[in-house]
Amino acid sequence: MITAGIDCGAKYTKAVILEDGQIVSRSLALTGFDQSEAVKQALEKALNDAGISRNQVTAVGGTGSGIRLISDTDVEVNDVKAIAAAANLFFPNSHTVADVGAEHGRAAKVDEAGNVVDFAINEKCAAGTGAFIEAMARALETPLEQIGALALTSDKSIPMNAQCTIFAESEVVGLIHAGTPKADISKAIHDAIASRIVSMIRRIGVNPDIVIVGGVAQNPGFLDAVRRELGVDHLFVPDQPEYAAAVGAAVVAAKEGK
Amino acid sequence: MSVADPWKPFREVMQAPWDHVAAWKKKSGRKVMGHLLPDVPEEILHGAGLFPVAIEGGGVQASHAQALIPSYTCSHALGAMEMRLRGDLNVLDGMVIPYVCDTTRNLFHIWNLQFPNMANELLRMPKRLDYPGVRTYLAAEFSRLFESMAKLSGKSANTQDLGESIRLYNRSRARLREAYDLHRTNPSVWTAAKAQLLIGSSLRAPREDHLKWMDALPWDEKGAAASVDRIPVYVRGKVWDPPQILDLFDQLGFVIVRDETVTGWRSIAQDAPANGDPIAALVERHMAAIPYTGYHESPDRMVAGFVLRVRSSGAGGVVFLNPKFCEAAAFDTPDFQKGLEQAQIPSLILETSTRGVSMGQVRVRLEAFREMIGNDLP
Repeated sequence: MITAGIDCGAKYTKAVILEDGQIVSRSLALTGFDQSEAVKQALEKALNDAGISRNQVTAVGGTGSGIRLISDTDVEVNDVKAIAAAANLFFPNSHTVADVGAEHGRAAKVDEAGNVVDFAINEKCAAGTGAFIEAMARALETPLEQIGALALTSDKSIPMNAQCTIFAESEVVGLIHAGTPKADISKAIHDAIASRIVSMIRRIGVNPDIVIVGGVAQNPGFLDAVRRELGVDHLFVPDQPEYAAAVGAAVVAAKEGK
Repeated sequence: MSVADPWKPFREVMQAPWDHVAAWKKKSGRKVMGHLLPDVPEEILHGAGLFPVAIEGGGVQASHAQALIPSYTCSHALGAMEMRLRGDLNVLDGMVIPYVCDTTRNLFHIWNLQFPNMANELLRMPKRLDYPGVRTYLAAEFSRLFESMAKLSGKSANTQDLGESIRLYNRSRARLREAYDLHRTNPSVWTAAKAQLLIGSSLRAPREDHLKWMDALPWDEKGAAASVDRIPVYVRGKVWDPPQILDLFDQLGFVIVRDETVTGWRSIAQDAPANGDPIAALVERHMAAIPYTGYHESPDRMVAGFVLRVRSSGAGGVVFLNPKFCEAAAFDTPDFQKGLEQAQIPSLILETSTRGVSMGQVRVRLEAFREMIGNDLP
């Protein structure tokens, strides 16, 4: 069975084509203001890359903050359900998944069948999300792609107390003015984000095999900070983790679609 | 008001409550007494010859009030002050603020200083419900309020009138319970929003008129979808804030089988004994009511009673609708949630406020909760 999953996220819209549980193609488009157009672009490209037509797709699952604007879906998949389904597909033995994207952080406890048993979602503000890292990278005048690796070069531990991106940026400016090296500030930023995400994971209960998905899972500084904060040796991250919710939507579409 | 659409009078009251209150005030000649809800016995205000009107701060965006009250105040208190400062509540002759938490106590003192020309009353509710003298104390406090209210209306405090008011409010609550039960059994027609429309408007309209309007409702109307398609939930909270959350419960396929909000089931669950000493009857009603968030009782009894109420409601899960910055709710919730965990009843905490809540985020949480408890239901 061929299904498609679309994740209309805050920053990017992702589309995935799934055939019998295997990812056939992935595509990504900037969500921008016109979400319907972004969905159309992402889905068409994924279909083209897979070399299949829309008619061959049995069902389309849609998820993400722009889900209700996606007219071409057969199954509307809740964001938490989507990441649970994806984690179950990627790592069936794992029962905890955390998803950190541009504007959200969330964690879910998952049963053997991929159902959501419990969940937590960030409540306060952007702290603990990709938007926070982007804002901090700008403050440090460091490319986003490098800020995570930069954190790995520091062995200092500087606490950051602000929960809010605006106040955190003030804190970062204070550290810059105090002559703190960029690497130490970068580590402090990643430690702060990890602390918010890990507290969500703890709220739902820590199982040994923890899956991290979402765009921020590409950031090595963030993964290292989460690993240290949780006191685990290894975190499970799928290939191209930013597509996880789209993959989950495709999995759910296969179960609940036409 | 037209009754061609039987729901219209209720909607009109909720859409422009103060215009209607002003019109009723002019027509009846009664003075209007506002009250800040939790456990203020409306019968006392009504029996004293006043027109009681509930003030609900939830759903109000604050602009003026933050000059007087810190921003870390619950939207119920902040919104009430906002409405008074911007002139919505000019129609009020007085205000009863129940002392149920530190916020309401401080709100009263600020209110009293700001609006000295209003007849303001701090109703000092007993915080400990297991204290031996609680009934005696509460009877004295209710009597004091009754006499003060009668003085304001210019009539003598007559217990016969108070008894009549109790019987009127009992009839109203019985009708509202009927509507609430229809929501349980026929939620596609009697939606959560409609049930709440009836309860909310009852707190803002003359009860006599409201009862007549309710008589004209289509009580026998049947819906297509049966209640088994819905997921039964129990809601513990203070007020429906933001108000649109009721529509979300409906849209996402939940049915609210019971709630503990002061503008919901909690406000209609208990009647006062219709005969005997009316003050004693109101005390008994208060003691039988679901304990309010800020009250103290043995924690074990509080939790056990809560879990029992949830179980007997048939709910598949509990949603805590905690107001942002409500310390009392924040203190209570962990105990209640632990009790639910032990009873293997799933729960979700939503910390909401008109200020600073994204309905999209609330929707995602409720959807995920539906997935979570929907898997366990037959």
